Amino acid sequence: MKVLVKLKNDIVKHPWVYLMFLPVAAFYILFCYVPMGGAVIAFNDYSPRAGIFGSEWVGFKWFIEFFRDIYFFRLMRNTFLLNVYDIIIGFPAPILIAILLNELRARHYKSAVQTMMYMPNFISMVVLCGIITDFCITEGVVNDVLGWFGMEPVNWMMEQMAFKPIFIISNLWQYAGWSSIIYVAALSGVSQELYDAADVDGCGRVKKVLHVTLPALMPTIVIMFILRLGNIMTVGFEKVILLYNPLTYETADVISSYVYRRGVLEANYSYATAVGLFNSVLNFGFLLLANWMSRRTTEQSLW
Amino acid sequence: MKKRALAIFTAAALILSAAGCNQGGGAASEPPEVQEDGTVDLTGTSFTIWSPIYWTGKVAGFADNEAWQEMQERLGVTLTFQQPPAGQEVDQFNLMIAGDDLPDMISTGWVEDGLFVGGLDKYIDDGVIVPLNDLIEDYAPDYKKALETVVLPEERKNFYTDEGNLCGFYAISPYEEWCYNGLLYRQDWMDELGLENPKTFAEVENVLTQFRDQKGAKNPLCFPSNGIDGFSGMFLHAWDVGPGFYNDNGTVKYGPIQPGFKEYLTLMHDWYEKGLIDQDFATRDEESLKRLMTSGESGAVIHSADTVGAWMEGISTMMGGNYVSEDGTKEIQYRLKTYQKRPPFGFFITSACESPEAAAAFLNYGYTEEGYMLANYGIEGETYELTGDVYTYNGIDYPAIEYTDKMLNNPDYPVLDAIAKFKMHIGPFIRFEHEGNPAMNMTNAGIRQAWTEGAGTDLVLPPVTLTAEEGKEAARIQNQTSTYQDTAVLEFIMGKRDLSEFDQYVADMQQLGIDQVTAYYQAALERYNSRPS
Repeated sequence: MKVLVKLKNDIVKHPWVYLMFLPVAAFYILFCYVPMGGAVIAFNDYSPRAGIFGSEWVGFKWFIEFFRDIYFFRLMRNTFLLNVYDIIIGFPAPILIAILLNELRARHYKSAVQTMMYMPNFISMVVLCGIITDFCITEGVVNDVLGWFGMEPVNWMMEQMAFKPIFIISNLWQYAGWSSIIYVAALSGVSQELYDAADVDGCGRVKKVLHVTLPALMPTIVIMFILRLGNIMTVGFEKVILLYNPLTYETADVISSYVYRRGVLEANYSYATAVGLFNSVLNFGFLLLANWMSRRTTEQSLW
Repeated sequence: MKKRALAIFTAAALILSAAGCNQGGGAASEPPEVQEDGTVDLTGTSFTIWSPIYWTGKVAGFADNEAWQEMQERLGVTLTFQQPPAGQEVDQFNLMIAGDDLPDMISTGWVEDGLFVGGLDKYIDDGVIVPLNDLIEDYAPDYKKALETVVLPEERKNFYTDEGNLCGFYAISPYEEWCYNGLLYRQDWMDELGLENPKTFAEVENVLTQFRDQKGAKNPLCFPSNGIDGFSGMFLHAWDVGPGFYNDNGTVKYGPIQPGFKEYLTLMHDWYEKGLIDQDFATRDEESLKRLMTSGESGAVIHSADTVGAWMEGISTMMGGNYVSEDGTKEIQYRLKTYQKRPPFGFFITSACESPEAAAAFLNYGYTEEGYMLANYGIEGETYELTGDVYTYNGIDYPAIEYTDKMLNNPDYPVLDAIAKFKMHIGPFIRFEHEGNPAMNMTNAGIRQAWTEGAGTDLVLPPVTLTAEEGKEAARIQNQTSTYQDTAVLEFIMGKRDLSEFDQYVADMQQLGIDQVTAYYQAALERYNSRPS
């Protein structure tokens, strides 16, 4: 009750702000919360004609089917490992970039570097994967370079061991610059006085990074890390299906690409929804865990 | 999943709002009267038609197509087209079915009858589309006649479902259209090296070796990226095995687990080891094949004659390869086969159509002479002239034509756009692909004809359909088997796995349930065979 009264007073006080918020709220309710109800088709045998509630209920059939699949563990392993590697290598990179950019004093040079690093983010996935493939096939540039060191050319796209490194390294190139934006923004809010004070205390550049820049970034890093963990069982299928082939399934096939291939055979919306729901539940679990641990250790958390 | 749900929801909202604009276009409410000459006066009726487009190009949709416009004018009918964006046909179709606002007619586009997931009978039971068996008696006499006279008796059952329903107005070809996929060699290299069109494996090996040694082709033969030519079963058919499910004298078998398949893998592995097959074939897509062929890195390819012909324009013509076998005398019994029923862009009348009779009478037009001339060739005097000759197929005469420059050499409409603007490519009419496709040139026509006549089709499984339940279970099993098979086949060909393990591979495939899927197809074949013809 108290909250409602408070809210009412606030609305009276700032009516325009609330009016502006309305479309946003409507958007989230209409396009994010309402469609969530559609997830119930994971528990029935959905046919478009019969509709969401008219289709036959099958309980956990699709979940069991997925768990019993002989490739279930391979898919879980690949999905999980790709994310773990991406977090180990891909997560610190934008932070490092932001710190380095922060140290740059030449303004024009700084913005030129920034712009160049944002570019890869805008290249279409199909084009990008075409480039990666051309680099890594037998007559590609990667083999040209390795040839200088006396290595025999190999088609890296057909090597099981090479898939994850190719995936992670190209991800780094694609997203590291773009993801650094949020950290650069966080750093722009750090008062120059702190650096001046550090100067007076006799700090060198490294010390200033360690004791001023990094602590200033810490809340952002923690929040970003928690959010990242909330996606730990998610790998978009686009890049995977553009880069893999049957020879690299062993290390490349992830949940989403496997479900996608099944979708080609048969438009089974219920199965895809069940797998998606299972994925979301796992992700949500990781998110809660990360949030809880973070609250205990750093006192930073989402809520 | 959230994203997908969001996309569907947004699309649904768009569809609903778009459908709202369409309510003026209902059909005539009373069944139309059949006149004494058997025709139906449709003047003043209007229909809504949902149909994908042929291809993206200058012409936006059927509303801009002069043949469709002329047809409306001649029949006095008003058509409203609802055309989903290219690439979204399946999603849009399912949204439309899920919603309550069906159009009067639905065309399936390139997805063919597969657009109706779970089978046509199910959609009749669900009351989405109406069966045509009785309707065509009175209201589509020319379609009925075409089914009885143009279509040969042994092919008639392809038009009906397992339950005996006639569901759609399909394009009917008076003959088997030439097969488009096969083995192609660079004609200029063959000529310069003085090589004959090979008939045995040894001769193919010799050609490829000479391409490599004399012409510097690093990867002489481009190979399908999954290791099997799914269209024609190239090389594999020399052992009387098809690339997937095939019909061995009434028994359905799955090709990639047969002993003949081991022979195939042994030969392909040998060629791969010798460097005759593209060493990176597993990672090639369409663009890289084009590059390999045009740059001279490869000199032979298993592909469509029309497509490769277009790639190689200005470089070399292509030679259509013979079907080959061990001794060169074997009669091949598997290749790409088309039937007289041409399923793309089949037209279906929905339960929302107020007068299915009028709709049937309207769709009947494409099977009258006036109608199929318009559909195939456009408007007489504008896009074509009659030559006075006739073609005869199965005892029926059809007028021969010559295209004018408006169709063939139109500066504003390159040939693919000209097709989309001035004629219908495929749909509810008697279709003359060989005479009426302005895009087919003479070289390719010759190659395709030779491929068609060079092999029999005894092993080809006719177009059977699984039931909805069989289809679901088959999809589950096949997702596992094809994942396993795709990897194993590549490993066998590339020598990453020894061929002595072939028996183990077959056992694994059976373990995953491939025999169950074979049994489904066997049942489907029996249902197909017992359809009344």
